[in-house]
Amino acid sequence: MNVQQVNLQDIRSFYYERRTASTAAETLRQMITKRDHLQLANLLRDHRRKSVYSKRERYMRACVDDLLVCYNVLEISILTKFLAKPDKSVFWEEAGLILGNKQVRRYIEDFYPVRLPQLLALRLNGDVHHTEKKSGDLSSIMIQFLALDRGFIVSLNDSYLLSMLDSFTIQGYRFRDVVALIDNPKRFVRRILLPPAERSIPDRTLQELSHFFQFALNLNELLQSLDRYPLVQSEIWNHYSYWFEIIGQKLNRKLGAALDRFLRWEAADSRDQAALEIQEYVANARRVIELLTSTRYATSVSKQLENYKDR
Amino acid sequence: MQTHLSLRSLTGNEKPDKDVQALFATRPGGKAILFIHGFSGDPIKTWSDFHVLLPAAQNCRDRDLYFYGYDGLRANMNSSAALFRDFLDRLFQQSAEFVNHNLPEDAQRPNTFQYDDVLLVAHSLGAVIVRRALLDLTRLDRSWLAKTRLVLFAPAHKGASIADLALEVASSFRFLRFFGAVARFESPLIDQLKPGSPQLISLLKETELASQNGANLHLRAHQVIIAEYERIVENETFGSDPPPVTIPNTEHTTVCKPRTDFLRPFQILEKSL
Repeated sequence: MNVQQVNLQDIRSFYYERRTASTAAETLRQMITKRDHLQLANLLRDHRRKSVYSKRERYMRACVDDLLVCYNVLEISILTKFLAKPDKSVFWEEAGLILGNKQVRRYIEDFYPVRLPQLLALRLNGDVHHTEKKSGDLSSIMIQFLALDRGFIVSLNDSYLLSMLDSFTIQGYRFRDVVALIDNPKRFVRRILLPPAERSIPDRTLQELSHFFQFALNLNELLQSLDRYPLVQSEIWNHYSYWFEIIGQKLNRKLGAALDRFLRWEAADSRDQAALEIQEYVANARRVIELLTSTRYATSVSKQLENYKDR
Repeated sequence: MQTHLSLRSLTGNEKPDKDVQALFATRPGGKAILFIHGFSGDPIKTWSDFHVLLPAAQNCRDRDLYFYGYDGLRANMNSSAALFRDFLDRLFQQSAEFVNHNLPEDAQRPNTFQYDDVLLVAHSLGAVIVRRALLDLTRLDRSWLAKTRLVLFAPAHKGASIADLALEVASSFRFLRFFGAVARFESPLIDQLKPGSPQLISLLKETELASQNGANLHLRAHQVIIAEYERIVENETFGSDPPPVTIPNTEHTTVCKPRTDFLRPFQILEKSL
């Protein structure tokens, strides 16, 4: 069995074929080969200059986001030798065509800077060849990362929570409405125990809040285990840079406000023990969120990218 | 060297496959470990970090790892056992077809592939589900049962008090258990897992009957591991199971969670391989 080939089939299956990444790739490929520059530039415009209202456009831009997520994972996988270096297959040729396009480059470099697709573009162009030399135990790390990311995509990627943390209102509910529910332990516990079919938007968001804190703790643990591999560590963090960097300060502030509410809880029995456990949980979660939203893990990839661009 | 492929959910939208996750060996040896979580558990989180530690273990490199998922919060115990029984039946009787259905093209196994050694590792309620399924399969006279062995962590087969546990495990906020008095949790499992419940009495009687004169060794646990500070399940020995091993400084939910700085559960399991 060619394990790297199987790894590519697995990644393609989950990130490209089962999600909308393949739709984006097909659309972009067609626009590029037909030299439909105006239409492409319109699709990949900066929303701050011209808003995006049409359902079709919003859907296609979401598909492009999925494709960029797929490119993130491919870049990390090549760096860790979980995948072989790109060859001349149709799949990699398509990625090279898309990431080499001028409009796509503006989208990922200027309008919505994402570093891993930029690195992959350099790699596909033959400008970057770097892989992690000490890759002996990195397949295990990759399997951990992919398992964690699969959990993120299934439980959180399209969640109400992340939309609310990004300042969206879901059917009239904002994140502060969910935070308000934490004030009352009785109400909180009742909502957490509701069967999935009976959960309202705030109930579901509370569940997602629990998932998100657990995800953040697990991600930080994985990143800390990678201190010997700073570039791999930084690439994995960059995969989540929209949440921890671009809206990082907002996320830090909002989650901090949610965590603070738990500190007001008082148990009828075992008061001291309950208070101690809550304080420990909150302190740890706060520390991890602050670390993830800091520049601690950002540096290596930024430097790498600057180095290659300066050449 | 990469010993296992990426974690994947089994193909299909139906229960239980959609809730089962697997790490398939890159060099399969016809062996597997099948983990079954407990009350309100999660297929992976219940056992973390077994999914990280086992692939690196020398005697686990050729073993497929399955993390079975089911509704351990609200589903009826016997219904969960029946679903698990069917799953085991497919795993053993159509091994090649079952595995290949879940593997990419380049990782397909020969049509002759089959499992010769499957370790069933269950936690809490999972132990009851597995025992019930194995008993029913014994009655169906499945010859492959001799290829299974049972390792149990904090088994609930002698009864459990689960209402408080629901709060502890229903979210990542473990401190919710201090606020359990304010909530009423409803599940058929509360009665079914009470010490001395008709379901548990029947499970023990049927196991003893089927195990008479040393028959059906697969019904006897190979190893039982219990927590030092157990407050959820009754720690009495079940039938002719071996005396349990206690892991110090653990509770019901931590006894089955090895970590790089706490390897005891992993070491015990590794000895059973």
